Order: sequence, then C-alpha cells, then structure tokens
Amino acid sequence: MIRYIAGRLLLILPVLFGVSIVVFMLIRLIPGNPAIAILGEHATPELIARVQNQLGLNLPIWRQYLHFLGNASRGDFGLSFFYQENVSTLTMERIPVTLTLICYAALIGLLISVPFATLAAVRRETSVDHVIRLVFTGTIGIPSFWLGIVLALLLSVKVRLFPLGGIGTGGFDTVWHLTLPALTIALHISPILVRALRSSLIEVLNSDYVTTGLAMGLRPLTLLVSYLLRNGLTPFISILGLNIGWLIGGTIIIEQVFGVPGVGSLLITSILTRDYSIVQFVTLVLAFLVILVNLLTDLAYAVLDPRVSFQQ
Amino acid sequence: MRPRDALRVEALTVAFRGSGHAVVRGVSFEIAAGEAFGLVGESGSGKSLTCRAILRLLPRGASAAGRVTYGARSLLELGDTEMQALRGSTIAMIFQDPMTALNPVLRVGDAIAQVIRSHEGLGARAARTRALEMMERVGIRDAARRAAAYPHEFSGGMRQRIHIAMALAARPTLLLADEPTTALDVIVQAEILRLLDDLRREQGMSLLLVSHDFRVVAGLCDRVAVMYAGELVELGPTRTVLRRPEHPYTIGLMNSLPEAVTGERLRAIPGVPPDPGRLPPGCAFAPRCELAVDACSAAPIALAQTAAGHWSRCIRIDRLDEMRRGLAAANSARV
Amino acid sequence: MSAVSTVAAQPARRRWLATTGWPLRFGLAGILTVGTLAAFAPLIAPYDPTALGLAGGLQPPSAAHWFGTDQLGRDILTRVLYAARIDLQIGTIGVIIPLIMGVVIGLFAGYYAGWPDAILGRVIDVVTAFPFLVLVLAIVAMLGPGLRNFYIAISLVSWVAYARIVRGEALGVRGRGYILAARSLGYSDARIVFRHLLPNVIVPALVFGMSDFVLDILAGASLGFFGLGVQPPTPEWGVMIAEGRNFIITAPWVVIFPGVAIVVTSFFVSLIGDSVSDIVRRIHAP
Repeated sequence: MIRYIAGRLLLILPVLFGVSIVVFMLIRLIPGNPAIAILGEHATPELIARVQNQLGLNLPIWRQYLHFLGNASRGDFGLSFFYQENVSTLTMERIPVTLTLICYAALIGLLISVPFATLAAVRRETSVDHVIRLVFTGTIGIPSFWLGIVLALLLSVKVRLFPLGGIGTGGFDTVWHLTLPALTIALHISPILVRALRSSLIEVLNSDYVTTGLAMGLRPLTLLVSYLLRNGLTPFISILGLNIGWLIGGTIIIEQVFGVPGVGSLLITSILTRDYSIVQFVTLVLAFLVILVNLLTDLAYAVLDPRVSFQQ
Repeated sequence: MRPRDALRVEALTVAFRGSGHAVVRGVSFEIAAGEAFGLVGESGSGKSLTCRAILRLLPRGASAAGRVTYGARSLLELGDTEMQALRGSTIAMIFQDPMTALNPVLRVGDAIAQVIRSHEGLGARAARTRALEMMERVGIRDAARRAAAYPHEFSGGMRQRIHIAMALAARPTLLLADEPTTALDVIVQAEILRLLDDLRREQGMSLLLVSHDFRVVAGLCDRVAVMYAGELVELGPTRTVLRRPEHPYTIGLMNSLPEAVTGERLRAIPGVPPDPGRLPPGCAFAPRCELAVDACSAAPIALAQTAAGHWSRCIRIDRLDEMRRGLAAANSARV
Repeated sequence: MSAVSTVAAQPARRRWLATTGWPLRFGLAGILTVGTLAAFAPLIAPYDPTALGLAGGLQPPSAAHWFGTDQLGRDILTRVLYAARIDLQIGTIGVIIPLIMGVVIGLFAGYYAGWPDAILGRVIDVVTAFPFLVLVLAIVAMLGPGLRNFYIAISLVSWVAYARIVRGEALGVRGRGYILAARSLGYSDARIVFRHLLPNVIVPALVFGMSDFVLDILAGASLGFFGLGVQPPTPEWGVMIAEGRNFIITAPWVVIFPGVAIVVTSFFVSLIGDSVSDIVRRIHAP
C-alpha cells in the first residue's frame, strides 16, 4: 500500500510543479507594474522599489520562479499587505474551518442525494424518476449565493431556527452555526451527485450479477446492500472526488455570504482589497486540496473495489 | 427432501411492450419430475427468454402471458414475495457468462452463504459450512481457503462452478440452465456438463438445459425441443430426434455442426433468422426451407404427433427422407 | 437474447423519440422566449433601467411595477429584462470562445498524438487541478474587475474542458479507416482535421457547451454579486441581487426576481442539454 501511495505521489509531482508555475505566473498577469497596483498611484518611488525587490520583480523570470520556490519551501509566501502578517500562517489558521464546512456539506449532500438517486434508479423511466430528475435539473441553475440569502431569510430571520453567520463558540455551537451554510452548499452540489449516483446505480441494476442475485431469490435487503449499493457507491466516490472543484467553489461563495471565517471568505476579501499575496497563496492551497482529494478517492477506490490491486 | 413437481408450460408468449412483437409465441412443453429436458435453437429464437419467463426474470419492457405451473403453483401469478422465496429454493437458474454473473465485491463463500441464509434460517457459521460443502461438491478444491477469494481471482470454468454452487445451495428441485457452457472452452464445457449431470442425478433434480449446440443437449437430456423464431418446431425423446429428425430446421441444425475431425466445410442454413415483426402467417422457417411449398406459408401450422411422444410442426415430413439421407451420409463420413 | 431485444426495441425507440421530446421542446421554447425578451428589451421594457423613481424606492409589485422597484426606485422588471441581455451574452460568449479554442487545440493534439498530445495532457492536468471558480477569481483579481476581464479569465480556464473532450475523441478516431484513407490521398492535415475529424467529434463538445453555458452564467452572476464582474449601474442579475441584499427582509422582491430569472434561464438550457445528451446516448448505445 505504501508503494502504491508513493507511486501515485510520483505521478502527481509534475502536476504540483505545473500548479506552482501557474500560481507564480498569476501576479505577472497584473497589467502594469504590480508594485504600483498593490501600493496605489500615490506611492513613493522608494516604496515601489522596495516592493519590487520584495516581490523579486527585477530578476529574470526563471530566477524569480526559483526564488518563489525557495521561499515556498520555507513556508514563506510573503506578507499580507493589509493584515501585515505572514500569508501562510494567516491562511492556514483558517483552513480547519473551511475543511469542516466542506466535510459537513459533503455529508449533508450525501444524505440528500443517496435516497433520491436510489429511488430514481430503482424506478427508472417511471414518472417518479422523471420528476426527481426534473427537480434536480432545475436545482443546478440556482445560484449558491442567492440560495444562501433566501435560506438565511427563511430559516434564520423569519423562523429563528439557525443563527445568522459566524462560527459560534466552538463544539456543538459551531456545528449549529455551520449547518445553514453546509446545507446551502449541499443543495448546490446535490444535483450533480444525484445525477452521477443514479447513473452508477442504473449501470449496476442492468448488470448480470444483479440478475443472478434476483434469480437466487436473495432477500431484498441483501440485494440492496450487497449487490446494489456496494457496487454503485464505489464509482460514485470517484465522481465525488471529480466534483470537489464545484464543492470548493460553492464553499467559497457561501463562506462569504454567511461570514464564515474560512479560506474562501479570505480569498474574496483579499481580492476586493487587492491583497495579491493572499490571493496567490489561497489559490495554491485550494489546488493542492483538489489534488489531495483526488489522491484520496483513488486510494478509497483501490480499497473498496477488490478488482483494483495495489500492485499498480 | 422437497416433493418433486412437474413443470408445465402452456402457450407461453413473451412480447416487448414497445414493439408489441411476440418473441416467444405460444410455447408449450412439460418437464416431468427428475427429467432432463433440452431446448435448442439459434440466438434470437427465444429460448433464453422462455427460460427467463419461467422465473419471471424478463428484461425491462418484456412481459409474459400464458400459464406456467410448477406442481400446484401458477408461477406467472405469484406475488413478488412468494416469487422471491421460490427462486433459488425451489427453482434455480444459472446463466451464460460466468465472467459477469458473480457479484465482484463479494467473497465467493459469502455469496453462496447469502443464498442459503435468504431461504433457510441458518446462522452465519452453519451457512458458511454448507457453502463450503457446496463448493467442494462442485469441484473446487481447498474450499475453505478459496471461499475467501473474490470472483476475479477464478478462471471462467471455476466461476461457473461457483455460480452452480450458488444456484444449488438451497437445494432446488428444478434447475434452469441458460447456455451454461457457451462461454467456456470445449474441455471445460464437458466438465461442467458432467458436473450438472452428476448433481442432477444426486439431488433428483429436473433440468431445463438451453443451448444453441445440439451436442451439449444430446449428452445430457432425456427429451429435447427445437425452437425457431419463437415457436417449438420439434419435440421428442433425444434419441429419436437425433436419429430421425422430423423437421427441416432440425436437420439443418445438425448439418451445420462443425466437425473438427473430418474438417468438413460447414453446411450453413441459407438465409437469416426472421425479424419478429415480420413473420409470415404460416411456418416461420418456410423462406429458408428447401422443401417449402405455398401451403407452408399460408396458414399457421400446429404441432402434430409423428410418433409416440414425438411432435413436429412440419407438413412436409414425407419428403424429409432425402434430407435425412444427406445427413446420414455426412454422419458416416465423420469418424 | 440481446440480439432479440435490440431488434425488438428499434421501432420502440423511434416511438420514444416522438413522445418524449417534451423536455427538449419546453427547454427550446423557454430559451427562445427568454432570448427574444432580452433582445427586444429596449422596446418592451416599461421603463428606463437607470431611471430613478420619483415615488420613492422599494415599492412592492403592483400594476405599475410588475416586479416592484428597488431602493433607488428603478423598475425591477425593466432591469431584469436588460440584465438578461448581459447574462445571456455571458453565457454565449463564455461558451463560444473557449469552445473554439479548446476544440482546435484538442483536435490537433489528438490528431498528431505523440508529444503535442502529451503536452496538452499535462496542461489539462494542471488547469483542472484548480477549482474552476477559484482560478477565474484569481485571474480576475489580477486583471481587475469588469466584464472584459471576466471573459478573459473564463477563456483562459474553460478551454481545457473542451480540449479534453475533443482530444479524447480525436485520439479514438484518428486510426479509423476514413482518416487513414484521407491521409493516403494526400490531403493536408488541416483539411483532414476540419473536414473529417471535426464533424465526428464535435457533438460531445456541443453537449458539454450547454452545461458550460449554465456554469458561466452562474460564475458571472457570482462575480457580479461580489462586485468583481459586471459593474453597477449596469444591470446584471447577480449585481441586482447584491444591491437588494440589504433590503431583503422588508423588500424581498428586489432579490427574488433576479434570482428566479437565473434559475429559470438555467433550467431551460439544462433541459435542452440533458435531452440532447440523452438522444446522443441512445443513438450510440441502445
């Protein structure tokens, strides 16, 4: 198993480098002098020169990149111009909140998707299936920020079921605070989950081994669990992983809407305040998160499907 | 020991909802308790669907009409729960492709044990013991260790044995075998057929063996029926059908068996099987038959008895001698 | 047995196509309606989208203002109609540019295979490692807010999805008989790619384009909501929702109608996309 992980890590090394190059190039996208863009037009020439040195903008590109990598390896991604703190520390201390929210949202998303997808798959081509598919097709187009606002209005203001924003004081209170945001994100991703899970389950339902199971007269519960779900959920996990980007995108928006102090709201705020170093680092972190999740889903697949061996 | 019943299929018709065409048309036959019955036909003849219809395992969009009884029970009218209880424990079925017939995420021992526990109230350990017994009975050595393996770790022939073990684990009295050896190579085919024969005699089970290959059926079955375009065209004791076939299609099928020994060229039946939507009112084989006359296609032809227990749906049997002579010549040319 | 069911099912399929075109028809009718309303907005809108109301803001829906007014007294129905023009444009341009870029690059990479394809593969891996919205936001952060920069960002990120689809198909098709025949006849590579390869691989890309359309509108509205996309006072559905956010308790209509507009437009496009992909699937794999 260790060898499998090591092998996989080797494969993604070029991608990690590619990601770092893209992130590095981001600042170079800024039209004009990035230093002026950061400091504003009234900055003095000395200040501009200092920032330029700090960002290493005077050096040739490849040296800048090495400089960037060198700093990165030390965990130094620069200073936030507005918080005047280390960018990496600033970001990393917000990661746990975002990760909690993402996991919470994924959980609720599963709780919503699995029953509906199973129902649609088992009753495929009937009106139940069509209604479910129609409803979830409609749900794809609901903007997450709008959904968040509307849900907040309905469940936080009109009916004081959930607190409005923030993360509370820890423990159960935090979970309570994060429920509405997580629910919003879950609703945002569930159409995709339902569609993927339904396909996966239908493929299983059409398979020969399910017919065999039926022919053997297995109890319905046994069929459902050992034949249907056990086979249908596994490819679904890799689909979940594939859509992590959509999940993260939704989380960013919802964090900002609900004022959850995570990495997503940090990103948005930093964009609005032109805090480029933070934008750069957060982008990097989120890309690494996607790569990590994909690695984990590969691993989960290998564990769950006995046909996939570790001797890759 | 459960009471052994007879299977009676009466005017079984299977049609697809979308097209409305019947792909199994009024098929009737009986299998006595403990008898081995063969059903032979090309792909598309409806033989597999006939088999599936008995256990109500038809594909989506297909529905069956007619009457199928096993002993006193009318199978097409049973409720879902009763059907589930009946499958596996009373009537079992095995399928053609061993590579896809087994649940890939279940250990084979567990898969067999599940069948046992679905029908008998045995505890986990007792079911497991029975499962191991079944595995050994179907010829899997070192069953205790192999029970922990997954299907993909076995060869095709072994998977088919496991498949059989699952089907027979709850001791059914009738086994429906839908082309169980078609996907296997010749040597393994013979082994599996022998296994089925042994198990059948041991358990006093009736057997419905479906195949496109006459030889598969010939070695095992007491009686055989030949199916073409959804209908039975000939039915009788295996020995008599083989020795004196009473239908041009049967003769054609026998002629087209490849014979590796003499290296003779295949004498295929000219033409192609008909589209179920465009069948002539009379004999479906007439367009391809060298003995056909106008009367053949004009009106439906009923099965008629030509000898004791031997039925044929052909009005030209008096002209069959010549065709049979050609068959005999070919047979004697074979070693 | 499968041969039988295929043969038996074919006439059924034709009948199916006739009876279940409803989602497709509904979706097409819907999007055509939205498109027409948007196109003729200046002619059919009752008010000027930027005209400040004299009677005061936040009026609920009434006969004079079907969708009510916002805090500056501007008629919401008018603004929703005008915003439709922007958002539909976002969807269209956001699909067309990346589609052309991605299809051309993917076609050539898939056709030549070898190292062009290997490079493209790496590029695809890297770009898809970023969540779509994150990368778009980051690029917009650097370039500055506004619709033009939004298009640049979308183009830089979205083309990859199209390239990936087309490249996969091209790799599969490049060895087929008609391609080899064309090459043996001495046709130029460009001609082969565009006249022989393209028609056979374009359909999945177009199907994806429909869900991409929805994705782009949502992205555009999200950026508009945060003030990073279309800038006020230009009406855009996301911008309108942001502007009305503070008044949602007393005047929810300011937020509801633009949101419904997004949902409805996306729904129509999704219906079309789903129906088309269903049809394509049924043709290829009965």
